[in-house]
Amino acid sequence: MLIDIKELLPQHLQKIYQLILRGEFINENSMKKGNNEIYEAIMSKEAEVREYFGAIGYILMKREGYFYFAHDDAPNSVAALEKMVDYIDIASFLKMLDSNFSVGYMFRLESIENLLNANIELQEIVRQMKGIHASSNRESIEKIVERLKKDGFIEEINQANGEYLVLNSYDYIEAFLNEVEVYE
Amino acid sequence: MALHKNILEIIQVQNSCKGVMQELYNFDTRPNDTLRQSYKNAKIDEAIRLDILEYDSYDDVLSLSADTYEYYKTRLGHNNETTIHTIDDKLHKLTIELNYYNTRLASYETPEKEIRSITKLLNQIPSLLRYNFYTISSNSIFAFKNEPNFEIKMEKLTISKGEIEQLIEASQKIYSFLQENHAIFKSMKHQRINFLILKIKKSMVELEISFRLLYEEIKNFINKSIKDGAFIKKLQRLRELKAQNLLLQKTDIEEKIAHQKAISTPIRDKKIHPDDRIFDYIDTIESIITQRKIKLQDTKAQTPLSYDITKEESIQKVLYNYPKLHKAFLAQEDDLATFLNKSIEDSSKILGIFIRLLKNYFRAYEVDDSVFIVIDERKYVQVRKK
Repeated sequence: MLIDIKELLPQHLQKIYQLILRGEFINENSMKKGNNEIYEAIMSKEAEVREYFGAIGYILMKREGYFYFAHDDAPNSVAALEKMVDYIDIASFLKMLDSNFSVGYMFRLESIENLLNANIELQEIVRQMKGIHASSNRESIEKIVERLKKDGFIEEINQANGEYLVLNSYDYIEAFLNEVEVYE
Repeated sequence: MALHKNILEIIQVQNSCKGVMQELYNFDTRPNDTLRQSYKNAKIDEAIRLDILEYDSYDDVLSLSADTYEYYKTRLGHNNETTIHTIDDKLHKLTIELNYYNTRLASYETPEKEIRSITKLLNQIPSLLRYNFYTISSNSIFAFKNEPNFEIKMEKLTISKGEIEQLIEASQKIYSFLQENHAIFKSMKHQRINFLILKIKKSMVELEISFRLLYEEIKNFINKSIKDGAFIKKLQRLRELKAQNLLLQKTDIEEKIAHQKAISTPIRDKKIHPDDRIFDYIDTIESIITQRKIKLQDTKAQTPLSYDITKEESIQKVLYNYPKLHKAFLAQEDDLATFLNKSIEDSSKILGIFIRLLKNYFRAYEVDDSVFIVIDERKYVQVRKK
């Protein structure tokens, strides 16, 4: 395929490069300025974008409502495994906290904190969770939320009242863990 | 149906309410009873026209319309109990009233009382169907979207599924009832009753599709929730296996990771340690050495035994093999600071090596920043292998 760079819209290419460098997902349901625009741009020129970035070793991966780039050379499977193992605790905790926690779920820190305050079993689970050394339920929630935010699975949609949205990219974790087979 | 009013109608209702309140305030200030009555009647007429109030001309009773009642119950969050059984009651009462009606006719009496009861009962049926439909709908949506507890959610959804089935059945009973008693109703030749029967049939046609859609929607909610439940169980099992260190043996997670096209890791600018950029300081170091030599020469002139600058000092530069240290650390049981204290002769180097190891291999280490290890009066957080 002959790629016409002008057709790919250079302003989007630059942003896509930046997203690759930062290892970020491109979500359709992101409310951040420009993110949805990039998603739409990739949707409209998917084959061209795949071809263009494929040439430099990045494979465009399309999932339900989000894109990401995988590197075709020497995948760091140890780091990827560690990340998924970490998320077993986080995903399990969140799903037990509220079975509705999934893609598209909106929450406020207070509401999650209230659910945790009311559940002694989960308080014990969060205390044993790796990397969450917190002195209060609120702090535990903040640390988990911060991790999800850093990994690109949620975004803050209202700073004033601490409201968050679970992005489509959270499916990356859920779909993977759902597919893992347990030998009993 | 107040819930289905468009925005203009709602504004109209609001304005009407404001008007009624204003009139109530002004009511006693009106100059005479005629004017007072006139204002009151105008407002009541308006409320009846907007389906806010209902007026029963037979009994001369003014009451909140079923729609208004339902609207406020919904607004107040009280609309969570269905009343499907009352449809059966209404049909039973209607059957009784129809029997009384026939008896009256047979006895050449006026069946006015029965007609009133039949009218009243028929009038309640469309509201009952709608009320129950909206209650089941809101209960199921609330359970699916807002109920955090999986077991309670499943129970509520199963109840809603049963209720919508009952409502569909009740709706079919109403239809059969109207068909069975078609001849009697027709013989009544009563305008209001004919209108109400038409109203019921129209409501049933409109609601039938909604009933079926809601039934399918609740089934989808249940299916989705069953999947969620299975996922929760799997996550709990994975968590247990992880806690028992059996995750890799008892699952195919490693294989899945190997075949997964993982998201590319962030490419960060490598921050070079000051030691790695020593060439940047060569001029400065040379300058310092030169100065030192001069100073020592001066000192030597005054105190000949103080220092011999010509003596060659062998500087032993120890290059630490971090990967090797890391492996050695993983192979034993001590925490990182204790391990380094035992392994490294020069204790002044421990801090730097500690930091470097932590920085390079933090994924393989578990840091407990609430516990400190003290070596040479310096505090180190407890770091253990995972």
